[in-house]
Amino acid sequence: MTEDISASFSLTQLSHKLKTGELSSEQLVTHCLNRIDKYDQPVNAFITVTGEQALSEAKQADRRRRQGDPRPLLGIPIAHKDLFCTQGTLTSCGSRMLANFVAPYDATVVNRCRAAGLISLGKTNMDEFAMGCSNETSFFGPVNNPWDMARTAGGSSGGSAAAVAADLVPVATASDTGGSIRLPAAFCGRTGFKPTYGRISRYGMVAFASSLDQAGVIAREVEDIAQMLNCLVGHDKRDSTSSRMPWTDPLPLMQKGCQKMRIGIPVALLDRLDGDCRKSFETAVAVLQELDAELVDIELPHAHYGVAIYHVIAPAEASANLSRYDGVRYGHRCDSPKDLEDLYIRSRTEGFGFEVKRRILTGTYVLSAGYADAYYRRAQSIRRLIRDDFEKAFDRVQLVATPTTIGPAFKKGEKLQDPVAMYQQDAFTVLANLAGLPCISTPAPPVAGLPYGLHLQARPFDEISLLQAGHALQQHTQWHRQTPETAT
Amino acid sequence: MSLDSQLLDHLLFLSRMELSENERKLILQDFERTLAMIDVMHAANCDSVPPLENPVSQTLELRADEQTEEVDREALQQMAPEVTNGLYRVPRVI
Amino acid sequence: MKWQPVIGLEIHVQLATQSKIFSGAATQFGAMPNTQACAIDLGLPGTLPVLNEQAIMLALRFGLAIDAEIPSKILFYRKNYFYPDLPKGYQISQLDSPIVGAGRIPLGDGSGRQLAIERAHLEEDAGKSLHRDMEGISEIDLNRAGIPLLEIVTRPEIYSAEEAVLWFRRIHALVCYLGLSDAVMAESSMRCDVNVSVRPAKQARLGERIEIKNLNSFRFVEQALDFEIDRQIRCLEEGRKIVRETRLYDPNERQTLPMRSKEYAEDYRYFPDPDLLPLIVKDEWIEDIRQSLPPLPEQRSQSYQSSLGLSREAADYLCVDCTTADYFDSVATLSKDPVASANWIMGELAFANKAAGCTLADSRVSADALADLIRRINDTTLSSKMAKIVFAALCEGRSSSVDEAIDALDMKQLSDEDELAELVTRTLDAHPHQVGQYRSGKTKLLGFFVGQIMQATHGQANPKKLNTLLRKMLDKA
Repeated sequence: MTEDISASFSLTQLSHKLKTGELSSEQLVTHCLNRIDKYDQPVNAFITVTGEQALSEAKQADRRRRQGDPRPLLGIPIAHKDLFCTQGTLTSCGSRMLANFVAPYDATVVNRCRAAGLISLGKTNMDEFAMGCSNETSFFGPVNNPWDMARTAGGSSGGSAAAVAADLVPVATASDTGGSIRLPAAFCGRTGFKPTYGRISRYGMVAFASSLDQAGVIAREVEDIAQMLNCLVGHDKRDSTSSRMPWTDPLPLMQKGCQKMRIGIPVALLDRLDGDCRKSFETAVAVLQELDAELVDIELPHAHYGVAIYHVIAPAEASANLSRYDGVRYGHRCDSPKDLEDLYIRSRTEGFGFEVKRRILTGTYVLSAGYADAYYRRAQSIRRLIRDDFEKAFDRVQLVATPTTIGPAFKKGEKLQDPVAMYQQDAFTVLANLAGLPCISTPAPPVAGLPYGLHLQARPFDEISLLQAGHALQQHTQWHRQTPETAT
Repeated sequence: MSLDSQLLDHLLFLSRMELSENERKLILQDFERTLAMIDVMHAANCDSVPPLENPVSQTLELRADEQTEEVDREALQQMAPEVTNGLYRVPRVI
Repeated sequence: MKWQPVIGLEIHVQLATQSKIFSGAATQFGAMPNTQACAIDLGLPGTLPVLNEQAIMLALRFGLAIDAEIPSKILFYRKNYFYPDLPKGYQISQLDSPIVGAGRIPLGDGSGRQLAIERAHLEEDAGKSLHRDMEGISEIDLNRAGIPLLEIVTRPEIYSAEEAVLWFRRIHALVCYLGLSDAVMAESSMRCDVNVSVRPAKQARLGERIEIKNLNSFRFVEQALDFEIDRQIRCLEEGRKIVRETRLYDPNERQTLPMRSKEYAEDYRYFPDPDLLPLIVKDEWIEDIRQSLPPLPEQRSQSYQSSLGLSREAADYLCVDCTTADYFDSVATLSKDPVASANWIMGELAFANKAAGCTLADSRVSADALADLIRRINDTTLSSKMAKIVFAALCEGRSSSVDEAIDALDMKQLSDEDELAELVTRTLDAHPHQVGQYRSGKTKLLGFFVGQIMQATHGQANPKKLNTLLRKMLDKA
């Protein structure tokens, strides 16, 4: 029974089984909680598990289902990245600073999931304040990759990716500022989706870099993503940057595939790939080509500035976003401060980890008098050039394809001593955040026995093309269906 | 560009943080590498390009002037480190 | 040496909105601590600002009233600094492209003098730190955090303390007049920072400037500047240098003192707030606001003086805010006696309202009632003394209209000539001795007869007519 459930861990299948009565929500939630019990200790995907509450909600969902409630996601379990505020339970953001923070409100994302009938099993581990791509900066310890526990699950949404990869939960919310959904999804062999900036409300999502942050989802299949987007997308009057662009249910349009789609490949960016990674990427896009997509070489002349300007803009915004943690109204406060400055300095020094401090310092530097023009403002100008590069490219093609990462999951600790090498991990993913583009990471052929990702980007608000191409690829490949041995 | 000890102190003052001796050494050393990575951006020709602060190209929407938030002070102060009579307490400001 | 002070003002006005500039929390003054500070005002993680439309409209109203440049696109910035009353560790404010650009305010005294306004920008107010006498503790109330502020910055083109107050009053009047704010200085809804420097009278270059922060009365502005200008001149005459700094005014000691200076220079690291997109200012907003702007106080005051014959003092008084001027317009039109209307509004009515602790807006005496009262005086139904009694009845709410009060108090003035003549005859008959004395030259006795008749009529005899009649009948024989 249990293995049965795990083998069909897609939302479409689960939804169908719940509807026919083949499976109850209570059984499903119990199954997930059992797996969390059994496998989460080594993986460390969860910071908080709310089992009791989930079970009672599951019983309620079953009752509603029997009474004819038709919501497709009713009774399906989900986990939330620990930066989405959840009323009444811990929202730590992976930081000592918020290790006792219980929000008095729900994030819009959490609200919408609840309204769709999804049941939260708890909160997933993450890099502290989402700053990192290996999940090693979390106050609650690193997330281990279910494919190889010595390796990182990727970050910053490492807990969400690992939880879905180990089949602890069929779907998890995540957030992406420079690659934080797509990179861990790629490292863990799952599908990660970041919609257009503004598509999903940021209200109640603890901010890292406000002009780059975007909520999204990690799941097994593209179809799962489409269902989740139906539930999450939409304007929110509490977020001034949220979009009013109409949303069409993509599910009926998924079968269209990628016929006649022109897919651009920025060949100059691929120079740095080693042979295995390049081969994996080429195999994946070759499938799209077989499915009647047309591959086109394109140029993104300013893309190689992406990582540099990302590491100016993101820390700049973060340095201001993290000023609110001062030990006065909530969050960590040092013991017996001797004066106000001491209160500030010690509370923040104790509350933030090293990487967060480093980024606050970088952000303060690039905004400070004498440096702001050369760094912050200049970076925003280059950001426009990058967006314009994509606009030009999208005149010719519908999608832009690259690998998600420059390599598969690396060993824990391997890059901790070299922040620049760590930052380079985001080289392919930061561009979509800088330009606000929707994008997807879907599994490509494994590299050295480890999952690897294909990364597709589309013009703003064209999520549907990504879903169609991703779905077509998954219909004709098995890479996304593989499950790590450690989790079976 | 580089970061010397004096500038680091200024940045630490502005951001109200401290570093241990070891962290200081690491930061000074890493900063050099990070800045070298960042400094490639100076090769870009962008002097006449207006900055792009936000990828969304829509105008700001306004909210009607209505009182919509009810304040539950108790709930909001539940996680406050130090409160008396509804006031947050801090070491004396002046 | 002759010295010239140079002064610029930065005036902070709390805009009269129902809710805060970036949240839907209430803005009433005097609520219990932290009961008007919602999650957004407290800067809780994940909360986001959403801009209040009315704050924009009020700021634009000010901009159009001073004929300022309005940019087509406005931006909000984050101004970064740590302070316990600043919940997010940054204040949302404006830097480039403020909502109100350069404009000018006329002095409105007919001299044609104007003060150049450099800019006015929107920002969120901070909370309050209370330092009651608890050892070593400050307490933070964030109710004020997020109230919309318009910061009006004048050019440094004011050259004396007296003039500075004159302009501050002018701006205060305009702000009230436009309905931007309650502008109650005791509640800090309007406060002023002044920048002041001193230079040799013939020197073009400005001296080093001092900022004096948080002056919340006209008197304090004048006193602080008087002290500070004096101090700077003394300093320079003694050959010492002025060091740029921020000072506070201590009204008890009547002196300015340096704020404990920070070890490091401030570096606010302004950058555009990524939570708020650029706001495109719509032409139709500008059009609508322009249409709805009332005639400005100086224009209205001028027309009161030239076409209604009011004194400048009276006209300026009435134009201090729209409510007063509108009230006056109604009374003057209905009573057809602008001068009497002005006198009543500035005199009895202002006095009564002050005593009752109310304003014109909630006064018991409607413009209609006051106009009736003036009409009844002018048509001799009421003597001025009786009018005051009727007015008191209106103020106390004992009567709702003038005529009702006249009836209720049995206050109609006796003006009928036949009736008066009969009274006079009867009175003269009753006092033959006094009549004889009068007629033999003791004309002062006229008052005696008036008194007798007033007593008999409870003061309701029309005094003018009575006098005429008495003289006529006494002089007859």
